[in-house]
Amino acid sequence: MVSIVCAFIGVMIVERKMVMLSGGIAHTSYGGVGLGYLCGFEPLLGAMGFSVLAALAIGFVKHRSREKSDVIIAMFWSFGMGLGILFTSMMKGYPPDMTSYLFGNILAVSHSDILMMVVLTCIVVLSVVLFFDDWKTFLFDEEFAGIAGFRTGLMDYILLVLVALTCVVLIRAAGIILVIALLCVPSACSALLSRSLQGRIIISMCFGMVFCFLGLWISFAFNIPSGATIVIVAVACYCILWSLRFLHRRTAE
Amino acid sequence: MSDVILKVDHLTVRYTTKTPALTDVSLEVERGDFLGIIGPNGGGKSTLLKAILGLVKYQSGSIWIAPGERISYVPQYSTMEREFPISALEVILSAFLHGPAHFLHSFTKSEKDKAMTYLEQLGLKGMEKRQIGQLSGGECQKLLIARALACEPSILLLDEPTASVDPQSREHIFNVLDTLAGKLTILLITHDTMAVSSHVKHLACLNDRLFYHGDVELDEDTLDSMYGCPVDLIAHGVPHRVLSDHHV
Repeated sequence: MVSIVCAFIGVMIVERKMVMLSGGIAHTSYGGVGLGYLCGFEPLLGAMGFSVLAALAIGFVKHRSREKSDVIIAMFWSFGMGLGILFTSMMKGYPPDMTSYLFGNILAVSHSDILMMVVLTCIVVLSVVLFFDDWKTFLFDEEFAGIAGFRTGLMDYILLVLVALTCVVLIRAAGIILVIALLCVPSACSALLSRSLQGRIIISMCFGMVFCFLGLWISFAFNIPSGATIVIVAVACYCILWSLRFLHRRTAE
Repeated sequence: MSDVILKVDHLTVRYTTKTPALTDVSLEVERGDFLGIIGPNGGGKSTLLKAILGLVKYQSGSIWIAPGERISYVPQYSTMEREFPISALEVILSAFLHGPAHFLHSFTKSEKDKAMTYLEQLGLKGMEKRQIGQLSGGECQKLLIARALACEPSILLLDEPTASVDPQSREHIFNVLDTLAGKLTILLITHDTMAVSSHVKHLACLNDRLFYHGDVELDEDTLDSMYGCPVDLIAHGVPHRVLSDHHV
């Protein structure tokens, strides 16, 4: 499931060069996790609220001002983290275990978490699949899509919110810090292998699944954290693929 | 009587509060005209096209387009995202999408056939399955023209379609434009002075202000005042002349 959302949104954000933006959204959600603990509601709900707000705010600033967007992203990134730390330190008594949100712990996912992840995954996948041709046109040439009568501003916001929802699904499995890796590594791998958007989504889905299962198996066998193992496996795979392609090109010449 | 299809009236565009990109530009284009727009870099040529397309906000003036006319735009291929995983055919097909959203959309066989005829018209037959990164610069430019034609416009705007394009593609592009001339209203931004003399019907010179608008025959004073320095547009040994003979 994790790999499914990764595939859809990951390929889109890599093409739209908004990987860092997604990182910012993911990290802002840490504030939501902290607020959830402080006020006693589900931290993942807090994370969702914060990341969606961050997505909308980043989108708004991007559309309205000429400010460099990476500066804005960095601000949200650290502001969210700061809020999270502030909220948890305001809690009375023993501080909760935040590391499972930061680094992910796929084995500690509760039933309610899974329910939420299923719902969010469905929302994300359906919104991409049902309007696939629109997304493709929009991603390829926003200006042209605008002239053809697409609501490009709205689509930009929707994409940001989808990224935010994706981050929430991934937080439990991979952790806030490792979200970006799961989003971009499978799609980067698929970019080496396929020249069509559909093909890339399908291939990165497969890669995502392989990374997750392999990572989980290794983490279980050696008793190391699952999120970290998944990411290390993923990046290692990318390196291997890249060097294979490099060698292939060399021999082909 | 004249059949005006596009009217730009006292248009002023500023990107920042101080420097204007266009100042008080007025222009009337008749149906079926082939208007060449020349001027120095940064003279506001692209801005004018973008204002007509509604991509740029303008501070004063107005733009009127005859009701029911469809405008299509050919950007420079260098602005295209050539790494994007999309095939040549898919680029053309995207021209058939109009309006805000298409639920569970897929393209029909007849749309695909129609897209193929546009590819053929621009000499891109057999390349429909290629990812756009596998096309040459000239082929990319022709692909963008094919996409614009697939929109079935009555007004076609082109932004330097022959800039950094190989000679064969350039030739091909102008041949296609010649066959379209008269059927469509064409606005062509170009640095290609040969093209100006042998293909376009009317000429406009832009450098912040509109310096000239009329027949292709240009006098030297206009050009000089526009570029701010004497310009020699006469190509020696080439049968096309931009300027009429010097009047001494």
